[in-house]
Amino acid sequence: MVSIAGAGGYVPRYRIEREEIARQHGGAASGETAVAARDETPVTMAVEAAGTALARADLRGTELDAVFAASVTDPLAEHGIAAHVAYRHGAEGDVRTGDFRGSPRAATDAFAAGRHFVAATGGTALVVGADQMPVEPGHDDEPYSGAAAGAVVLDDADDAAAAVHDVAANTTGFVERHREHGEPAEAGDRRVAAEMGFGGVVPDAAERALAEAPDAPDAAVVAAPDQRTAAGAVSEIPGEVEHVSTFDRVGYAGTATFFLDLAHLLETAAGGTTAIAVAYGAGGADAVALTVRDEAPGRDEAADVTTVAEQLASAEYVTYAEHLRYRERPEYEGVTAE
Amino acid sequence: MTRDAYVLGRGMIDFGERYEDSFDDLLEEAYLALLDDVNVGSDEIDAAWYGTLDVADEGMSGAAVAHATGLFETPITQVVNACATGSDAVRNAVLAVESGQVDCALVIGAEKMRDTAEGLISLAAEKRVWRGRGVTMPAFFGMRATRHMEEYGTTREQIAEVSVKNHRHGSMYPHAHYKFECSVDDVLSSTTISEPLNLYDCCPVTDGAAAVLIGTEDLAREHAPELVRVAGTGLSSDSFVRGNDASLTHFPATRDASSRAYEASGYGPEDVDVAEVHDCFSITELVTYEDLGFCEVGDGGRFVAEGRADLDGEVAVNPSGGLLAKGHPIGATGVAQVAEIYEQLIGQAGDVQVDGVEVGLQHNIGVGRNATGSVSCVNVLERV
Amino acid sequence: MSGIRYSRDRRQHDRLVAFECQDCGWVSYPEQRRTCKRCGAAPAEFEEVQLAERGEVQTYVVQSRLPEEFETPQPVAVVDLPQVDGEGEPARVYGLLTETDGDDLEVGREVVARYRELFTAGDRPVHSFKFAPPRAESIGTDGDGAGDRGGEGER
Repeated sequence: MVSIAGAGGYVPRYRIEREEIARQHGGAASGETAVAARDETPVTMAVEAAGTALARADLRGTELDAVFAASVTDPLAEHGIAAHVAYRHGAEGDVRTGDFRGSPRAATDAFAAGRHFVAATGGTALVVGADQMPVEPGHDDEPYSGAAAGAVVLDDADDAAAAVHDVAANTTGFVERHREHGEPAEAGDRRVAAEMGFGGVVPDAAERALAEAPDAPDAAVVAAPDQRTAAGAVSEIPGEVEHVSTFDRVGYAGTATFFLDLAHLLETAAGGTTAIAVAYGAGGADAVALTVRDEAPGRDEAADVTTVAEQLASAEYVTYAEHLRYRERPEYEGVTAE
Repeated sequence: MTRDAYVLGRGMIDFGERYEDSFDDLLEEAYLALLDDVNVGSDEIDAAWYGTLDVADEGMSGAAVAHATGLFETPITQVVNACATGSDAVRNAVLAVESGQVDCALVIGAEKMRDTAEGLISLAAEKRVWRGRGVTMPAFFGMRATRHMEEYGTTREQIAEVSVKNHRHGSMYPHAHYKFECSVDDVLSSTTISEPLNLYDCCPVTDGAAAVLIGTEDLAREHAPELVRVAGTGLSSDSFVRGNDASLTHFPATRDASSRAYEASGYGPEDVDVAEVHDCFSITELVTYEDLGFCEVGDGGRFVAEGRADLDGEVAVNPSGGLLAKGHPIGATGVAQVAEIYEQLIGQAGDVQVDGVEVGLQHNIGVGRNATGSVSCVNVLERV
Repeated sequence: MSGIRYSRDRRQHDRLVAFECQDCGWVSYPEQRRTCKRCGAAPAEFEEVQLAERGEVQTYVVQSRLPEEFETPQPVAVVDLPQVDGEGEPARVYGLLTETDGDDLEVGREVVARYRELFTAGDRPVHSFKFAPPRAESIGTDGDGAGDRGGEGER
């Protein structure tokens, strides 16, 4: 069975208090949102999360056979993330890489690709998601547009951190929310989206993913652009399900939210917890069912890593102006002598 | 055949923000000031060494000097060696005279620093991984200040004393860019540039030019009021990246260049009466006392605070106000320092004249892309 | 991992690979080349070593004046990065600090290497390491210290 050998999250140190944004544009908002520093990009954040996941799995990057990366905010149309993460961590040569984008569902697309790769080859795959959501001053999404990364290492070891039972897709072709490059999203009609999108697709995907699971889920991770939608999806999952989320401290971070929240769950859940992890995006949703193992090496608290909880608690608050400035690509004027 | 080289005369111009003057104007003025000082005809000048980094991109190659001086059909060599450019130009002229190839050599240095408002700060935006990106000159030198304070207990006030002393001297020196005096408090409360260094710890951005004439003993007897001999020279180059511990607080290149100059001259640091040394930043002069052997390693702070570098101290250091007050037009700096030591040795240094000087030393240090003291030049002069 | 000038040394830039002179023990980073920059051995015999991602500040300044593309105050430090296996000398590098308050720096301070974008060559990002105090040190210093496992805070 394919397992999660280790997981890691990365949350930028800088945060904006949502009240600070509300003060600028009116309204009320609580919690905070992660802001990537000027020198952070999806690549650098992915590298950080991948490093933690590898340390948790007690693996060197040279032992990887595949690296898959998801992002919906990579500023470059061609450049990619997977190969950079792979190279940085020592994986080169015959390592398979793949970049997934175009929908926040790219998180589970990449996860599923990793799982298929491990199942088919018996190799080890790193799957990472990293995003830095764009903002527009005054836009409804501004207080919640976060930045983060998360990663998992997948292999077929029996003693890994969590067993992955299945990844189930539910593709509907229904698209309401959409976004141009560098722009905030057009959410469309929320009620239509709730009815036609999440409401319909998540329970079905979750049910199929859980078909092989030993127990009903105790916990859930749901990556969705807003917390009401995510909570709505959790409520559709049968039974007593705890919603594990970093939303109040990070905001929505695209494909990263799925991996970050999953890492947070693996770092905090009791052994034996069965969980469902969902990513929702254009055209449908995917659900991953997994069971956390007791005392797995990949959940070793002594590992030299910084947990998601620790990163959430290590914050420096920025001003509204900095929050806007840090999201702009810096203009480097220095001389390149090539 | 070897013989000795002497200073025949000097041409100094006012350093400052010379907005109205072009690069050529500065070269012309320094050359004419030299001709005013020493009565040689241009046909007697056999060769010239020309120091400039050409920051303003107006004076590349010896042709710029031929153009400015009228010394056509004369061998003229441009010297570029970071902040030791001017002193190395002098050294090359000295070697040529000593070798017997040249009887009379012009050394002229010039730099137009103020044609761009940014100065050298844009260097920090160089797109290089690791090698000095995001690091300015005040940072390169300031890191030595941090470490010197940590390692030897040097105080921030002692570092400021260098600037106080040099501004006091500069206020009395006719060609200095800045002629104001300042207190330790003024230095400590001036604008932060690169903590721990403040604005008054940094040399200004200055235009300038200077010339000296180097020649044989016969020519010196004919033209100079006193016989000033170049007793020894030393040049040393270090790698950009020699990460030895001494480089954290000192300049190994200065130590090597000065030991060469001392050995060649037969003099030691205890013999030096007056010195013009490289004080691009206050801390630079403080550690240079130690590198040149004026005091023990770690004692530079006390050396300046106790007045031992004053005009009436053990060694009068930077009577001209140094780079901090006089300014630092890079290619001209070392040439001007030699001119000033010459003035001291012939007793024509005016208000900053040091009593009873017989041996003078001139020093420059230049850094590469990561501040390990890449190049240093030291020239020792004596009144015969 | 971009552009020939930057690709040339990409193992050093991306992986902190360095080169130890077998004559004098000096650790060359990032350049290898064929001569030792300390003892001058030519040709030098270099052995590849792996640097750790934690090092120690040897000295530093906090810069206030820099070209516009830099954020100020910008601390910069000389950092000794030891070899991973604990053997031999550390490499000594000039490193920019990121997300670091100058007041938090001192000689001897431990810093960790953080993989960041340094600049772009054209529009192409060039990455390598900057330094910052270990993240774990600042837990709870500004945030409220609590991880969050609830779903409250809906909008």
